Amino acid sequence: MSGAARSLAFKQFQRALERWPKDPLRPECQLQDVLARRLEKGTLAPPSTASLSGAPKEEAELKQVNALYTLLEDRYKVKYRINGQLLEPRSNPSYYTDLVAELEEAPKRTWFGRMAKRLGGLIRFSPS
Amino acid sequence: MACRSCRLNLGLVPLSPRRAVDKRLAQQIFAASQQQQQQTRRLHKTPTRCQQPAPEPNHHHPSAGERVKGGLQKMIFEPMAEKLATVARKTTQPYIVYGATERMYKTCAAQAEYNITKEARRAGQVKTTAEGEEIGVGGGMWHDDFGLLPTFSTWAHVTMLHMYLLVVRLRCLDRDAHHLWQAQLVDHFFHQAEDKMDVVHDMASRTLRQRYLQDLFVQWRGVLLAYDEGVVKGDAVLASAVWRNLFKAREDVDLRTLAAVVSWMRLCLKNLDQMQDAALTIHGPSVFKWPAAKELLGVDKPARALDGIYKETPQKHSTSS
Repeated sequence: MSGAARSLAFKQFQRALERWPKDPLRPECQLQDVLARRLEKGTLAPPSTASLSGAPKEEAELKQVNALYTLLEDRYKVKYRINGQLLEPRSNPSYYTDLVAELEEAPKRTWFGRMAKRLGGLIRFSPS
Repeated sequence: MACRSCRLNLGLVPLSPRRAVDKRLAQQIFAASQQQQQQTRRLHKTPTRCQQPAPEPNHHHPSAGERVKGGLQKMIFEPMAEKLATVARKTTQPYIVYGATERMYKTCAAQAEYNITKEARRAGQVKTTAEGEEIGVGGGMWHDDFGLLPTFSTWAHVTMLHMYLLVVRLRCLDRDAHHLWQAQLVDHFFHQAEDKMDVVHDMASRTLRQRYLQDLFVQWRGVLLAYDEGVVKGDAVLASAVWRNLFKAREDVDLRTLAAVVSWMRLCLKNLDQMQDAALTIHGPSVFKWPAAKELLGVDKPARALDGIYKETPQKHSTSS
């Protein structure tokens, strides 16, 4: 039944949104919160497919859910895996590890911590 | 380098003979670097998915004046420029990098190119979005297939996306070379951004343009941070970053196109990773020849979590569902 298929798509969509990683740096702008409004509106597919109805509409909705799951399972990161030194750049080998550490630490800083960081960033030591 | 109005004023200043020689020398250095590029083209051995067909032979017959000029060029200027390039590498390197980054940048900027003609503006036919942004006339994949409006911010974000992928690869050069290449690439972008604001959007006020350029710079830094985080962490985080920046966090985003863009970014990074440094500086932008819309076929393959629920139906060549 098309009704049951559609509710299955909705349930899978909701599950995918629950699994979506939360972003501590941008709490007011999260993809899962914005997409959850589609569940309330009752249509998963974007307005470009609004003219469809029946089986094509179900298929369009399932494709949206499928796209979400491909992103959750890191399909593209695995499919196009980087084997070389791209993530250990010669100009700064610890760039990405420093970045991840900074991103972990930044939301937890107090106001004083942020001010201290800003003042420290005004002084730059560079070997020249 | 100078902004547009300064360049216009510079054109009015009569060139001294010494400046004319300097200008010719800089041009020969570009010509010399192009010769080097043709020699090092053979270094690019790793096959990529985008192979260009060989260019057709040129059947141009030079006139007498061109032959004399060509003779002078071959006998005097080119050897001089080559010698200068080897001896005074530090002085000539910025010129070579300027030309090479300009070629790289032009490929990035051409992806989501749009225009608002003066006739349309005079006739009052320029539409605006709900936020007040002017909508021009564009074409190509990003506007037609991905449903992005041909506005300045779309052009800026698509260009920044392409520049970001090149910057990730440029980070793998030595520290000084990396700074030089990235700074020149970004300079080209901001010069053209101001140019577009002035010419296409008729923004005569320099203070207003400066304010928008500062916003754009903050967006560029944000793009670097967000996409770096996505590349390191995973596809979901990268998709969130692309959604916030390229698709402006809008609710009606097509998740298939979002996944296709993420897939295409990972593919470009993989191809850039396999490229050697010399090949990168010559035809780095060749990684962009494979269009992101072709990744939609890979996106529609069923995910493991939907095993049994969603079966892909065989499609003819179409990029929309």
